[in-house]
Amino acid sequence: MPSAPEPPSFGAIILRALLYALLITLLVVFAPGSEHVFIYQGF
Amino acid sequence: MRPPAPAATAPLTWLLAALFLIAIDALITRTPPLWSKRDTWVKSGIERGYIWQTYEVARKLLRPRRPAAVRVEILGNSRIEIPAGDATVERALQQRQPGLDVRVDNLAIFGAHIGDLEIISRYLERLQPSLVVLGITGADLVPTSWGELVNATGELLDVGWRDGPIPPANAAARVERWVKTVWPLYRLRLFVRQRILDALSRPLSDKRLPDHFGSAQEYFDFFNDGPRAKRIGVAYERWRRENTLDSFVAYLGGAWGRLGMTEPVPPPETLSLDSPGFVALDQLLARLAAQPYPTIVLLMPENPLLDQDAAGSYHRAGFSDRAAALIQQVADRHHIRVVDGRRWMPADRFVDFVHVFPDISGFQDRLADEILHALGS
Repeated sequence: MPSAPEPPSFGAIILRALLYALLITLLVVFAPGSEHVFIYQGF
Repeated sequence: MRPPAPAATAPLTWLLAALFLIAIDALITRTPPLWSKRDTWVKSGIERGYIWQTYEVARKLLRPRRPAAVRVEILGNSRIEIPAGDATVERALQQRQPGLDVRVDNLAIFGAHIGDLEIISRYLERLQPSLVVLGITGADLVPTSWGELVNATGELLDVGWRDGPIPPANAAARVERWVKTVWPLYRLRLFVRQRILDALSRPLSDKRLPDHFGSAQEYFDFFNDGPRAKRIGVAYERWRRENTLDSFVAYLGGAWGRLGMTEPVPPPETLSLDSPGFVALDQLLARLAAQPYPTIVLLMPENPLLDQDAAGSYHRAGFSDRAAALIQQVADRHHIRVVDGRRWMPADRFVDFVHVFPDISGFQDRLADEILHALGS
């Protein structure tokens, strides 16, 4: 009968959580969006 | 030996990721790297231009400048953004009242219409204004080919759980506003992106808009390269000598077709207090009237050269008066004073049919008088 896996190390969890947070941040900042607008240029 | 479970799926990982996200959010959105830019972004493409406009406003709203005994907040669009720069109006106020401890925050955005101004007004409380100046024209209350009632510039700062007077276009837009409300990084993401791209590319064309212009030519020189600025200056001087509508149109580069040089507004008879623009104005003034500080509505200067436009080639006759009368009615409901500045400036103070020159027009002097009057000084 296979034994249950050991819980992940706290260091691995920290690194993985940081990676997720950074990736989400990058995704939010650089995801394309609707960014077009008319601005009067006559002046 | 048992293998370790993957950290990727551990609930603790996601909990910590959320905490890191909050920390990274605060690190990015509340620190100087995001908010330290003071140059205009107008010379490197219109996309950056419109982001810059709202960035400037967001910075003043979210990271207020120095404290001051008197705080004047100005809402509007390019008509008041150009001639009522913070330092320019502060200088005019201090000339009238030496030693006055005043801070002026011009919160205008190019192309803004009434829905954009209503969005900006949701942030005013945090600035604890002494006075709010709402600088508008009738054209700001109707959707036109120059802008909708709410534009992409205003939407960048759109927050709140309830719909404003201009409802979102669809459910997705409403959900996006909710996300902006709870997640500052999402709301400010275009500013963050632009600051990162700036750091990587160092755009050389950005420079700070001067607080002082000594002449029209100095203004042309700032916004145009050498030969073009000189050509514009020559055409401007020709207009000054001839002083005709035709020479002014020639200085602006020739006819742009019917109503192309002023905002192409609808016929005046279509304006009504029930239209979305006036409903938005009503709600905005209701919010401001409920505050402890006074508000004035300033009807922005209009170029008197348009009086010569009997054929209606460059403007819609009758629109301004009809809109002004309706604005007065809405303001009266809330006991807010309307200052009719439409005839404040002679034609030679105008850059074009729509905007007056910064500084050299003297607009800031008239505005300073009205501000002091409203403050009871």
